[in-house]
Amino acid sequence: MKIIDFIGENAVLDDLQSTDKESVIREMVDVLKNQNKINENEVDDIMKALIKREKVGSTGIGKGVAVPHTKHQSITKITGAFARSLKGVEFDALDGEPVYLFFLLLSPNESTDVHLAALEKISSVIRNPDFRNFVRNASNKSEMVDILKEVDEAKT
Amino acid sequence: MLTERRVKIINANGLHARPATRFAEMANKFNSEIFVRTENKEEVNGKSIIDLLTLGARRGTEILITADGEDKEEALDVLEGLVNDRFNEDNMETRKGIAVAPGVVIKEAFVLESEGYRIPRHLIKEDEIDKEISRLEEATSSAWKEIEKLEESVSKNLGSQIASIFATHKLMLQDRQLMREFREKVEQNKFSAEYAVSLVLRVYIKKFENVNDPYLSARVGDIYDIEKRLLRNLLGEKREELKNLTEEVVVVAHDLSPSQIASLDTTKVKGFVTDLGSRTSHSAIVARALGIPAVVGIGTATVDVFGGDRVIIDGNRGLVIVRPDEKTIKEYQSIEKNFHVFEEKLSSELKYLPAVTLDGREVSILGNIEFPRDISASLRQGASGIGLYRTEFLYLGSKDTPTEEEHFNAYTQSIQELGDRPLIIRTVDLGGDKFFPANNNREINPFLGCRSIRYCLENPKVFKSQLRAILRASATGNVKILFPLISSLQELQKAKDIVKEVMDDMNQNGIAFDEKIKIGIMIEVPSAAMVADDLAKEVDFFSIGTNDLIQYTLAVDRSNEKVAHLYSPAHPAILRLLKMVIKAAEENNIKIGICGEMGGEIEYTILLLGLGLREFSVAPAIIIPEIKKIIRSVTYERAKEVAETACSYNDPAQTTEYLRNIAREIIPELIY
Repeated sequence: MKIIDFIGENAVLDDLQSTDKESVIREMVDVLKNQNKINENEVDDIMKALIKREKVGSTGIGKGVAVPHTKHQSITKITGAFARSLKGVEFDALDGEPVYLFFLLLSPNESTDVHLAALEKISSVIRNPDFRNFVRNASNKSEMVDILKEVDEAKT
Repeated sequence: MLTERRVKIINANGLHARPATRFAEMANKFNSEIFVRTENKEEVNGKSIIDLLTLGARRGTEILITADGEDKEEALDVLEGLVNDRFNEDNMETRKGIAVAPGVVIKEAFVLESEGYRIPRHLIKEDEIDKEISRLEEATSSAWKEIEKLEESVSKNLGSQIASIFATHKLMLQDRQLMREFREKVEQNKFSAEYAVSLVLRVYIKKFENVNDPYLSARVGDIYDIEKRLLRNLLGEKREELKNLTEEVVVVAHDLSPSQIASLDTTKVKGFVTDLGSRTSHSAIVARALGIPAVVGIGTATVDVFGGDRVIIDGNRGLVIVRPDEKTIKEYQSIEKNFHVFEEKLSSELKYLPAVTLDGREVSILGNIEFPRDISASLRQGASGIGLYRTEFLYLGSKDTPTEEEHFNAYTQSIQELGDRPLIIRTVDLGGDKFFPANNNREINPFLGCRSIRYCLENPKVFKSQLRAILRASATGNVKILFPLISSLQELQKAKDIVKEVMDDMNQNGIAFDEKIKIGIMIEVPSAAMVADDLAKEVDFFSIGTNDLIQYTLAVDRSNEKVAHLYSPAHPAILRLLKMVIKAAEENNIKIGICGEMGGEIEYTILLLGLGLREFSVAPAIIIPEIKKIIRSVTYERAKEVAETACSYNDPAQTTEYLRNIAREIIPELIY
């Protein structure tokens, strides 16, 4: 599985405008909505599920990265978005650091293994300090995509 | 030397984000270095969530945990346990607590202790510095006490080595350097105590994180804990999370103060569970008044439940089911539905019908309230008035003694709702378990101390201002005065003398009031029951307060789980006292009612009716139609027979069983 396969080049944001948890998630969900990757009528419900998951415990998993995620009945195939905030967002991350990079992950209800595999893939990418550095310093969206593709290819 | 454990992932969803987080958080509590690997993946840092996620370990995968350091054995024990417990994720747990408010609810949990805090940057004025410093000191000392308790219980449950985490916390709180820094931020920078704490500790967190020393970096989690605990103590009831709820939840908390409960948004909060509490504590009474199911005294609810977990609260049986499985959910969904359907049917059927036995004995059913706003709920369920207004709730939320005007306004508001229906106002019943007045010294045994009417007689100014307010209100409504906790004739006479004084004073000043206002007393102390015939000559009515009467007669504190089983309204001593009191009232031709909990427990309705009671004052309002239904289903003659039989037993369990069987025939839906 490659990250770019389920995220797609068009679901990458290089300059998130939002400054708080909920609006960051909303901004990313909107991208998927605009690309018709999720049903417009389900947007509110998906948002609710994502926020609920954050309440259980922040998905800010450290090192300036967060992976907001949820399963949802309206999702038929795993999809997601990748976004960067230049200023960083307070996300109640477990290490207290602001979050700069976000991977949004939406999976179908019955997709435990795919979901786990996607998380595995994302975490092995973000574990790499070079990746985090390069992506944070990328000058635009297409550079971010390129870096993502590059690490995707690399054997982890 | 390395130590290694091999353990299989058995939770349904594998080592995904939440389990990885829990694992890493737990691992971080230890000084040892911890590594995890699988058959085909290289070893990763067990303290890093990201690392753990790269394992992609599904259900059924075996993982190898290794640890190196002085506490490696404990670390491995705990981590292995966590994996085997499915990361506390999908295992249903049923806990028994004390049922304090009926009903059943299935909702997600909002855990009060573990949610995040937002600390605004807040500057204080020069003259507020002292206050902030003393808040800081108070918070530190109560945090210290909390930790000590935690340490004790963890030590008991998990062993002293794990409990030693908390010893570190205590040391941190005693650290003079740290305290000095807190103070400096307040004194020099004029920061609020909350902001100072947060700021100083965040700097430490940063420092520790940047040090390349596993011992120090492991302390970061501890500092977060300390910060949270201090902030919780500082913010106290100012915290706003509960007011910002956006969806329906059940609240899980260590303890809820009556004012916290009273301010719950009942459109969002559908039930609550607490670690502490008892059936007689005021929080329980408020829960019943709010009509939301509640179970208290679970012991470790806040530890067992994670925010977002699904929880079933069975307020009828005192059960809390955490992370219920599908089968249990289905079962409870049908119980929940039937309960509501039945309640609604009952109340719409009976609302306008009188409470009268099949052979024509009329009974009045009134409501117990804490706040004027509760009146409408009672009236909606068919109450014919308010039989007990617990005015001490005016003390809620305010540190000062309520003024005469505040009392008066509350009473006037009540009268507006009630029209000419009766309103029995009980003078403040402070002390015991509720709202210690600010000037009250800590008592070793508050239930036998200066509480209630004793407090009022000691503080005539407080007492008189309330009496004036009641008397002024009596000019416009059907108001009666009720004195709580009377234990002797002399005490009653003193209280009445003060009423007389206030009346004389009002007469002189030309202030209107009801000259013939009825005065009654609570019969809730055994001595009052024993001299009821003397007391009856001095008052217009009795109101039996069974909670205290039982507690004092049987010498049982119901909140103490070791003796709670000894508490029973069906104890022959209680029944004999009731008979005695009712006889005294009848012989002296005064009215007698019941306002204690026993009056609202439907298994006792027929007994109380048969003993001769004609006035039941109950809460929550939802009980009113239930009592009415029972009264309308029996004859007074039959009730007398039942009472006689019940009084002939000498075993409370037998009596209760007998009464429950009879009540079950009438309302099988409500008696399990």
